[in-house]
Amino acid sequence: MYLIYMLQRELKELLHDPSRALLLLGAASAYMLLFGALYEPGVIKSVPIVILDEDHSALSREAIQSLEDSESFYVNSYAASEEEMLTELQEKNVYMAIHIPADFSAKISHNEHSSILMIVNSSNIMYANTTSSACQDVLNEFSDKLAINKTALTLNISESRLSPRITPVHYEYRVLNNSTQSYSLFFCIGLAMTAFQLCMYMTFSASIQYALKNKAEIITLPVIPFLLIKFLFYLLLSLFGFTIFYFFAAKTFFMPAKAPVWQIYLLACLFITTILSLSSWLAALFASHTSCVRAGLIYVVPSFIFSGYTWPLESVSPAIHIISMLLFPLTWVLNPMRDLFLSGSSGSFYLSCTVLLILTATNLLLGFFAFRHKYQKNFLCSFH
Amino acid sequence: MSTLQKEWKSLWQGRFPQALFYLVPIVLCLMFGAVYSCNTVRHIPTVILDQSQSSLSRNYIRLYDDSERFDIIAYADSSEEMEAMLKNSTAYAAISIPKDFGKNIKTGSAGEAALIVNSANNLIGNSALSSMREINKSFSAAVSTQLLESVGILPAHAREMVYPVHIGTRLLNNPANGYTPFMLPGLILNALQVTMLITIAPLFLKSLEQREYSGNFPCLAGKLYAKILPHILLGMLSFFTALSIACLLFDIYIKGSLFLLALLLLAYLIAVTGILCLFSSLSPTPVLALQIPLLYIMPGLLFSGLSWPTLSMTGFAAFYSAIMPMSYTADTMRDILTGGYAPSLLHDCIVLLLMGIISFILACCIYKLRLHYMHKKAAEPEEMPCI
Repeated sequence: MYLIYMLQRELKELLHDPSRALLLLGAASAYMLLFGALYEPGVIKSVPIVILDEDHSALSREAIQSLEDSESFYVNSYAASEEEMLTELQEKNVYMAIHIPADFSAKISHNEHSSILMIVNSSNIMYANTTSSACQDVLNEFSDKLAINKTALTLNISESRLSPRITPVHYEYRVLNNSTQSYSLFFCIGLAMTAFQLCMYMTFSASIQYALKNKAEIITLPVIPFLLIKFLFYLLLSLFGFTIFYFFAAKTFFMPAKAPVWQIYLLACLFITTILSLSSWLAALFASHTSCVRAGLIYVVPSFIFSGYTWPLESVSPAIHIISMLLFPLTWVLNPMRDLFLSGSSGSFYLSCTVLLILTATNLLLGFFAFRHKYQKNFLCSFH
Repeated sequence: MSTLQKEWKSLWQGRFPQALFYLVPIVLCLMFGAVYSCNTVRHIPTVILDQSQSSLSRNYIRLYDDSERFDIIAYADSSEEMEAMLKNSTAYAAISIPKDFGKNIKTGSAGEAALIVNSANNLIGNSALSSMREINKSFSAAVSTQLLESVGILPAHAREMVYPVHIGTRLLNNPANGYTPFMLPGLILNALQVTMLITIAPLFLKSLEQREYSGNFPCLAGKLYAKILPHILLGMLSFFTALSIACLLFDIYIKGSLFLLALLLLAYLIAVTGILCLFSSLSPTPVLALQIPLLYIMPGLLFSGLSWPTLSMTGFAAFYSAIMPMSYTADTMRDILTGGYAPSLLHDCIVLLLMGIISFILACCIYKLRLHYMHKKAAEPEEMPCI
């Protein structure tokens, strides 16, 4: 009876401040849509480049043709001099320059090696990686073809017989889980979950703060059942918010949700309980809701960066690794969640669930003590 | 002047003075700098399945062992074991060498090797793939040279024959292709933006609630600007302190002019404060003044073109990026820092100043309007209760 009564009160409170419901139900999906639109092309294509061909031979034109055929970049201009080429780079009209020297074909015809210089503006390493990898692939292939052709002529052997000696190993590349290396698959889940974390924190802490400032809110029940019912209400609401996100991810962005639904929901559920329980004691700690929101805004970016979602934790110092694991619950959520979506399983699933469960229990305990302390301070002292 | 002094004093008052929020960019700079201290992705856990067990396959594996990009964590006995290690994320890269690898190469038919990368995290995937390509090219060239030598061609000549076109690479502005110069300045700028949000967003509203200022429009605007001026000064100080720390401790260098950098930062802070004042003047409560700009301010870093390039943004994303102050600052600032030049500096400063001035004028108009209604409401006689 009390349960239904309290749930009704929570619902009333929520309807009184609809921005809370909006944040909780819509934030993850809104961020998913927003970042989905940002990373919609998936991969970086058509990066503008400039070419300086000082050789003007059939061979240099052949090399340029193979570069023009790549969809990773497009030839924005042909420079007439080195100064012009560097100016184009400096003006940021292009992000890469290809310089073919004047003796390019002459050296090759004399059976000497020749060099093509690739100048990359590496201030944005996303451009630099895309262009330099694509350019190296194209020019290596060009070089191999040329080597087979020239050596076959020199040794008087057929190209087909010579080919395995010039390219003695065939490498087969297999890219798992995100075969096109799409940035929308890579980024969106984590960004949406980070926004979800912030919104859960803001809404639940608002509710706790409201209760701590309105005696009538708590008077009807002892502290523990009161807190637990509040917790249950927000857990259900957050799960609904996650379901909306899940629907958007799968239906609008065709995010492959490869793992069994129960695994995704179990992780989501434990993530929600961890953040709600963390919010419960943080809310009781702060003097006002404005301070609560401020703390959340400061916390959100570090929690994403430290989670290892983009910069891998294998590449950080052990001290930072420990800080990530202790201070940022997202460390236990984002990577396993992405693995569940993209690969269908996560090696750290059970470990993450266990850690999140421990974090929930600890934070709930802290939440109970902090809430009771604040409640006694706010009401009982003033009463006496 | 008195408003300025009053605001400056109020920044240092209270149990937790608001001015302390300006330490956030400095603290976050230290934290993020520590995360990116490796600069490039290294030590990718790698598993090897060597079914060939030949000298050639061992030489090939040694190249991976010598590379600091890869950490060979295990040698699998079967492809199932290798797949399992990839699946449970124990390893992010795998190299599978078939039984006849060495034999095929020696007999003149090409050997095959499979390279598998878990690219759920693109940073790991990109780093592994580009390093694999380099290692594979070196190995192929070395083996190919040996094969030609075995048919009587001189070593130097054989090398020229198998690798006729060399690719020279020159990386401008960020020669190590590192993450610290790529991301850290932008992250400091983002931290500053968040600091401005938490300090300025409730400001107008508080002043409105206290009915602090009135008078004609220019006088009101002047007083309100005097209120946010100390925040701009503290913001500048905070940013340059964080940047100095980044230069001292991390892989950040300032190639360009400090004056230009300060000019850009000032324009940026004018834009951000103007926009935040507009949000503040529109918000009904201090908490909402912090929450409403969330969808606008928080994605600023990712929409700024700092990481995902502006050229690859289309439709809505391109529009959204165009209305963010960060889009006119982050990339330009990185250009000044790493390259020493910024071709779009003047354009960006003008856009930022216009954004800031227009938003601030709008904010003042709304402030005056709200004040007018508040006075009007207060002046209205209370309705007599019915008897």
